[in-house]
Amino acid sequence: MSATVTITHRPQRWDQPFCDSTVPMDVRALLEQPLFAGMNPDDFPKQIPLEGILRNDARVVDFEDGDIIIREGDYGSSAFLILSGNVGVVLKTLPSRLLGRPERRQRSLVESIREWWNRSPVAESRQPNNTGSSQEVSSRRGRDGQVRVYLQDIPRILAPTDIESMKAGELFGEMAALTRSPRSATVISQGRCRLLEIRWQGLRELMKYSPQLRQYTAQQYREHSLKVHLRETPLLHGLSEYAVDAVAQNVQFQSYGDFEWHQPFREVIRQDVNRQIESEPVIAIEGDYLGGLYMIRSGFVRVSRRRGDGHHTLTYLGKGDYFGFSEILQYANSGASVPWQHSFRAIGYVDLLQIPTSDVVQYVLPNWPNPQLGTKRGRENADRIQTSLPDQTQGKSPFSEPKIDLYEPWARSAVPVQDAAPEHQQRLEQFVQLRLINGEQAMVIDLDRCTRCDDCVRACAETHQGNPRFMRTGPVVGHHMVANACMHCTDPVCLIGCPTGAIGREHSTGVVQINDQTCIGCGTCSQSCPYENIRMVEIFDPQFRQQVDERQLPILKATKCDLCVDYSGGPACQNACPHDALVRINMRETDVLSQWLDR
Amino acid sequence: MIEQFWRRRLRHLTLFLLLAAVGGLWLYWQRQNLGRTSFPSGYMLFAIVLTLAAYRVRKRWHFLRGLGSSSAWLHVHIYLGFAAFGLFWLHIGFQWPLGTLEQVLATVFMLITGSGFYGLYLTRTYPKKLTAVGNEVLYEQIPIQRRHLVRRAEALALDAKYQTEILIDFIDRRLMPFLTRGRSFYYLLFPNGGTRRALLTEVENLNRYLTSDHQSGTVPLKRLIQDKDDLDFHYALQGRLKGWLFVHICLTGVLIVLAGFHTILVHVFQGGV
Repeated sequence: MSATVTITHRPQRWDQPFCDSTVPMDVRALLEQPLFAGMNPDDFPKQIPLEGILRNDARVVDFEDGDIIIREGDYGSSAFLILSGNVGVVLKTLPSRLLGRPERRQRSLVESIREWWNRSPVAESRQPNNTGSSQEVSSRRGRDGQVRVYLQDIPRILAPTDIESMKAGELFGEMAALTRSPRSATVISQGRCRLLEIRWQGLRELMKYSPQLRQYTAQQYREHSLKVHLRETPLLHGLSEYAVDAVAQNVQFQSYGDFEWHQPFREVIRQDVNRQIESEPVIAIEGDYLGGLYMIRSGFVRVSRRRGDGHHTLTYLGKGDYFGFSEILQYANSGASVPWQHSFRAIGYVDLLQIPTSDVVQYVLPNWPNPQLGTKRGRENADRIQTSLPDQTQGKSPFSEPKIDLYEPWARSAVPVQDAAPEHQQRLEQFVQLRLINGEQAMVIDLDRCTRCDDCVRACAETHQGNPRFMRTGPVVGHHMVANACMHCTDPVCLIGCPTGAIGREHSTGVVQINDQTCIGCGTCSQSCPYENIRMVEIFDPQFRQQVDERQLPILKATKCDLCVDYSGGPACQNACPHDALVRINMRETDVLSQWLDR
Repeated sequence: MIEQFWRRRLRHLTLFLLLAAVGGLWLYWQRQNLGRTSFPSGYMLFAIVLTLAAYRVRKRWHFLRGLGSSSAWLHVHIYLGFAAFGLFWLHIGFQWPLGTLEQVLATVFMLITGSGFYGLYLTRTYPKKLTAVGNEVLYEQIPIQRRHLVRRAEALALDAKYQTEILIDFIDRRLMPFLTRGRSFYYLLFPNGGTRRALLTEVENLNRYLTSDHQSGTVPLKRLIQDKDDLDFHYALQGRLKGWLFVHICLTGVLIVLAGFHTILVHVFQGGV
C-alpha cells in the first residue's frame, strides 16, 4: 500500500498581506521617504527584504479633515508614518463622547425603577437609527470604505494650543503598537493627510534590521517614558537622578512570543501541558547563565521548574513584576556566579526591560533596601535579606536546595515544588494553560455551591435589555467554572482592529465596554476574543420587528458584559447569587484568588 | 480579604442566638408579668413571615440591589426561618391548635418550614453531586442534548464498524429506547445508576459475539450510555432544585393569606378571649 500525500502550498508569512486598501501603494516612492531612505536594504535578510515589508506589512491610508486616527486609551497594533499633510496630537484629554465612547453615569434608584417599569418586552430592542452621531462626533466612510469617527467643528472643541502638529516624515503610535499599551494621546487629521500604517509585525522587523529606526524608537522611549517607568518601579525607588540616567541608558528592550497570540490560541490550549510549556518562548532557563534583571512591561511570564520529564509551574508574572533580582543579590553577596533558579517563559506575548547585572550591582543594590520607602518596609526587607543571605562562614547557599527566594514579591504566592498540593497545582496549570490569568474581572463560579438556579443569568438579562451578557458555561477547573463572561482582560486583544473605536477600556474603572451607538456590527472584536465572550446579536425595534439594512441583512451589535458600571451595587450577577457561588475576580491577584477558591 | 465560610457562620450564628435569647427573654418577662404573649409573638411571627417573603421580591426586582446582595438576604432568610420555627411553637404554646383555620394555618406553616429545611439540605448537598458528574449541563438545554445523543447513536448505527446484526440489534432494541425516552418517576425521585450499569454490562456481554474489529465499536456505545445517564441525573437533580423552590414560594403565598385572615379574626373576636 503506497502512502498518499497531498501536495499543498506551505503557508508563508506574507500570504495575507496587510494591504487591503484601495489606495495603490508605490513601494519605490515609499523607499524615498527619509525614514526608509536611511535604511540599508542589505541589512535585511533575503527572505524579509525591506521592500517586502513595505509591500506586505504596510498600507497607505487617507484621512479627511477631523478624522480621528488614534484615540487616547485605545489599543492598537500599528504605527503611522506621515506621508503627506499634517496630523495633530491632542494635548488634552477629550471627553469620551467626542471620541465616540459612552459617558458613564450611575443610575439612581429612581432611574432604575423607571427603567424597569418602562422596559421593553422585546429582548435587544433599540430605537431604529440609534447609531452614529451626536452633536460633535460622527462617523463616515473613508475612501477605502472603512468607517471613521471624526470631530466636527474642531475650533470650537480644541484651542490651537491644545494641538501639537506633526508633519510629513514623522512617525507616531509605535510604542503602543510594540508594547500593546494604550495610546497615550488622541491624534486627528489636520486637513487631508496620507499616512503609511505599518502593522506591528513589520515594525518589529524594521526595528530588528534597521539600527537607525531602533535607535530612534529606543531614544524616543528612553527620553519620554523609560525614566518615568523606572522611577515608578518600587524596586528602583530612591535611585539618584544620575543612577536612573545610567540605568536608562543601558536598559535593553526585549519581546518574546507572538503579538497576535489570540489567533492560534484555540489550537494551543488543546495541546498537552508539557508540550505547550515547551513551545513557549524561553526568556531564561534554570541553570543557565544569569542575564540580568528583567522587568515586565506587558504580557505574562510563566515561572516553572523542571520536574522529572515535565515542568512544574510555580506561578505566573505580569506587568510590573520583575525577576532575576534574588540571583543578582546572591551573586553580589557571594561573589560566585549564580545561575537562574527557575525557568521563565513567555505566555502569549511579553514585553520586557532588561537591566544588566552590572548596573543592578552598581546602582540598585546600594539602595536596597531603601530607607526612603518607609521605615517599616525598609526594616522588613532588611530583616528578610539578613536572615536569608547565604551563610558565608558555613559556605551554604539558600539555593542549595530548590527553594523560592524571598526577595521578589511574586515569590510569596509561589508554592515550592515539594509543597504544592496536587489539586492546587492542577488548578494553577490550567489557569495558565487556558490563559485565564488574563482576566481582571473573570467570572468564577464555585460549582460545589452553585445550585444552577440561573439567578445570575436572569439578573444580567434584566439589567441588559432582556438578554444576558454572559453564558453560564465555560472551562471547569476542579470544581470552579470560569464562565463565558467578559473578563476585562489585562491584554484586551478584542480592542485591536475596531474600526470605529466602539470598544474601549475606561481609564477610571478598567472596564472594557462597547458603545452601542458607534458599534457597526462588524464582528472584529467578537472574532478576536480568544475566550468567545463577545457575542453578536440581531437587534429589534420595540415592536419586535427585526432591524435590517437596505439589503435586508440583519443589523448586528456586539454585546458583552459591561460589569454593570451604570448601576450602583456592582455586577448584577454577583449581587444576585444567593449562595456566594459567583465572584468577579482579578486572576492576577493570586493571593485573593486562592483565598476565594479555598474558602 | 476574603472571609472564610466558617468565620461567617460563627459570626451570624452568634448574632442569631443573641437576638433569639433577647426575644425569648422578653416573651418570658411578658408572661411572668401576666401579659398576653400570643399577640406580641403573633405579630413578631407575622412580621418575620413578611420579611421572609420579601426575599422573593428582592430577588425578582434587581433594581433593589442597593438593599443588599442576594446572598446576604438569604443568610437573613435562613436564620429568620429558624427563628420563625421557634417562635411558632412559642406562639401556639407547644400545643397543636384545635380550630380548623388554625390547623390549616399551622399545617401550611409546618409544610413551608419543612420545604425550607429540605431546600437548605438540597442547596448544600446537590451542587457537589452535580459537579461530581463532570459534564456541566444547562437545564434548559437538556432536551437539545438528548436529541444530540440520539443523532450520535443514529450516526453510529450507519457506521460500517457497526454493521453487524448484534450491534445493530442492540442499538435498535436497547440503546435507542434508552436515549429517546425519559426516565421513570421513581428515577426522578431516587436517581440511581442501575440502568446505566445494566446497559453497560449488556454491552460488555456482547463482546463475546463480536470480532475484535467490532469490539472496538462498543466503546462509543458505552460513552453514549454514560452521557445519557449523566444528562438524566442532571435533569433529576436540577429539576428537584427548581421544583422545591416552586413549592416553597407557592406555600408562602398561601401562608400570608391565611395568616392575614387569622390576624383579622383574632382581632375581631379579641373581646371574647
